[in-house]
Amino acid sequence: MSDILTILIASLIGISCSILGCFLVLRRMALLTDAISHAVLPGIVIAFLLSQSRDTFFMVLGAGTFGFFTSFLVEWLQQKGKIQADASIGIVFTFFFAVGIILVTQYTQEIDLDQECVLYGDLLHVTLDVWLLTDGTNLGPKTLWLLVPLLLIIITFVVIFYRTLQIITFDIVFAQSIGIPVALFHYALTALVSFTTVTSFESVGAILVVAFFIIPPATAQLLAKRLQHMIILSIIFSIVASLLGYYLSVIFNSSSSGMIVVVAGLLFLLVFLLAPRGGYFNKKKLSHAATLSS
Amino acid sequence: MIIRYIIINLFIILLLISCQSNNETNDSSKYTVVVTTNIIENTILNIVDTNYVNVFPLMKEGVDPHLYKATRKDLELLNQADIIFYNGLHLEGKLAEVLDKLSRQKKVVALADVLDKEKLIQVGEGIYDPHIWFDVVLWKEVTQYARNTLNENNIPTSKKNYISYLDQLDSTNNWINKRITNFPSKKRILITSHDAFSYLGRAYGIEVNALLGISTVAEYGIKDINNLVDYIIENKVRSIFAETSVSSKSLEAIVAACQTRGHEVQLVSGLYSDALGKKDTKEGTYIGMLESNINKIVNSLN
Amino acid sequence: MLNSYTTLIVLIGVILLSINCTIIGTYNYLQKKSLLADVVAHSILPGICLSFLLTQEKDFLWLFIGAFITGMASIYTIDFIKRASFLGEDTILGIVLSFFFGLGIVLLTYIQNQGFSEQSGLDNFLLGRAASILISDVKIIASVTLILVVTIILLGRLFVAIAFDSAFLSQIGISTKLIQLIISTLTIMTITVGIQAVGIVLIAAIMIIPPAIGRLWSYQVSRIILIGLLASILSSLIGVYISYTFPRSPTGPWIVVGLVGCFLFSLLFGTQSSLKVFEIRKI
Repeated sequence: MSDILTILIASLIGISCSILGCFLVLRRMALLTDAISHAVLPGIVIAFLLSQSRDTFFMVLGAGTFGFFTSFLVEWLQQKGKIQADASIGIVFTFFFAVGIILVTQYTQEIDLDQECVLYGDLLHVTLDVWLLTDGTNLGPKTLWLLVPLLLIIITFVVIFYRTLQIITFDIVFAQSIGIPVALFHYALTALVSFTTVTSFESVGAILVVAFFIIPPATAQLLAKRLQHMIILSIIFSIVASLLGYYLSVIFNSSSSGMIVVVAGLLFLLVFLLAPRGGYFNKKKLSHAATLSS
Repeated sequence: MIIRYIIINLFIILLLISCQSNNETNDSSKYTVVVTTNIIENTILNIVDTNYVNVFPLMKEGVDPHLYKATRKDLELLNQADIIFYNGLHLEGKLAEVLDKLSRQKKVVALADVLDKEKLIQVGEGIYDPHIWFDVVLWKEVTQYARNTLNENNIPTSKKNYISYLDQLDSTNNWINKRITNFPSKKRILITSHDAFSYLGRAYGIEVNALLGISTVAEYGIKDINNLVDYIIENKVRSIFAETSVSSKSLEAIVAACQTRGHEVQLVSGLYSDALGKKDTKEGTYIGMLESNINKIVNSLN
Repeated sequence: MLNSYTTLIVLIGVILLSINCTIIGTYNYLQKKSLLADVVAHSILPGICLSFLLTQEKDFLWLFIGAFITGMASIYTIDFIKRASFLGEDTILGIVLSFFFGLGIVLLTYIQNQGFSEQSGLDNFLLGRAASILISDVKIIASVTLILVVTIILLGRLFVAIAFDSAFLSQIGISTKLIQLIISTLTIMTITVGIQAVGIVLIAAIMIIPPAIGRLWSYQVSRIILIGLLASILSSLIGVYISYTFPRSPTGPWIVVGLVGCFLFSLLFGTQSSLKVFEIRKI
């Protein structure tokens, strides 16, 4: 039972992350997730100080707000400040993280926050952390109640605005010229990314959530020719990684989220080396052919 | 269409499998007691009847309870447990919340709950120092509580072992008191990097000072280091102590700073704080760990 | 303030570190690889765990070697994937960062569950604190500074050339691979030495922010470095001063805040900034 639940949670996170991740990867915004996952620390601390509770809801709210704020600042520095993309991400997340540490240190008497629960996360804990009603009814893991609605929102968003998102992703200039509110869609996407990041990192940890966003979509991108296929493939890869990774982690008695990431990485490597179109070995042949034809 | 088809199907399959009931059974004839730290493990081992009871700790040797991560084996253990003991007062971090939830289905006992809040050391609003085992009198109370709970739940305990263990606790307590009172109160200053010894300090009249509070995310600044150095020099402290589970780097910086101001201070390592030493050694038992700590402290401060 | 030994050591340590990170950070910035610092910093974890598994002890030298090897592996993996696929640079960085860190976490939990009593505090290697820099750290950092400065004086021009015109380099018969190897080695050395002294985030910050500040004032590489150095040294002073004056004020994070302060100032007043409030006319 708990095995299935753990795999279910990992897969749900994987699905949410890889759907959004496809857009991030294609729009060259992949590292935004890394920035968000570090920058939420002050959000968590402030939420904790204000609410005086460790309740997941407040944490997600505080962290989500800061995550969104981060992506806003990164975008602003890039657009208005003309700062190189990589540098603007680096500046924002190190700053927020530093502020977070300063806050924790100042209020160290009032806060008993562990590095663990902020930065590492744990799939098994989350599985055990069930939502009990006062009469003792077991409603299953709390995270599930956050993850399922989130996934539904993401799917609805992507299905309804699929064409629009596609245009923005592949030809932003054209999108602007036909009057699509590009900025609005950008912030809607980053808001979804922020909330997915914070909902997931309690389960898989702040740093590993980056892998869930990036690795399956990147693997899919090596194989797919169309956006639709890329999304489906990345979902499949993330589910396979969750299943295999979880069982390997049981065999080696080690962190399940870490092992899922390792499996996802190995899948990427496999596809990278062997893919028929973009694969390493075939690419050599291809580029050889390309130089011949040119 | 294909996306939705696949997603919906996966959902249904996963949900169907997840609804299957769990029919794992514990076929071992012995009772299973699961505990969190190996300090609790050692205590429980001394009171149960080991012919009928197995005791399993979740945290292995050398694992800082703050940094512990659950594995699936641990989940199996928790599922099979007839009774679960943990320290409480947030020593186990997030795990405590999980155990608390589990208490609706199983007998889960937070040992620190038996203690009067007035006997605890408060570090913040509603936050108490969890390192209660450093006061042997408190730990004896905890031991009695554990035994009563085991009896109430019909888990075989050994009366003979229990009584002799309580005796041992008493004599250890007396021994510590003797060791400490035998050396001048001015010298009784225990400086460590992590704030784990407040109970030891209070129970046996040692002044305790640490660089870090209980949170592991917090950092210290230069001012904090300088203040501690001033304090060491003012009180002519001869030794400072590093715990086995915490990096001693901050303390090395303090030793270096003291040296340049003409005060020799020695860095003593290997004080046990959150976990016991290796199994089958003296430090692998609760009493042995206490003795080792006290000997280290007294010998190096004198 | 300077008569306190700790303060003096910390100050010297962070200033030397600022010099290292700013210089090597600038060359990475020019290649649009600022976040490489972050990637390498996280890739160190599996190396530390592996060398612990092999040697079963927490010896600094072995941990350092392990860290160096996986750090190098991460850089080469990035280059390898980049050369052979159409994936974006940021995607590749993300993949490598999270894969190596995931591997690190797996190894760390594996070690934890094996019950080595020596293992605790293994991840402390990544969690250095600026306030407890030791004289031994300062010596190591200083030797890196020495190596770095000498290399830059000898090869600085080539480092710039590789960012802007690597084709030219190969034309005149200089191996770009060799130059890249030297830059990578210097980067990893700076990071590995820095991390166990001051921690991941501070290292990432002083590698990324000073070059960005310099770029807001000038487009000449030597000036970017000089202005970056000025900003990072100033921020080190600010950070150390605040940490020296107020209790419970961590040094590293305050240095980052100082850096961001300098950055905002440059954003408003920098001659090359697109947001500058004053136009300084050239006469």
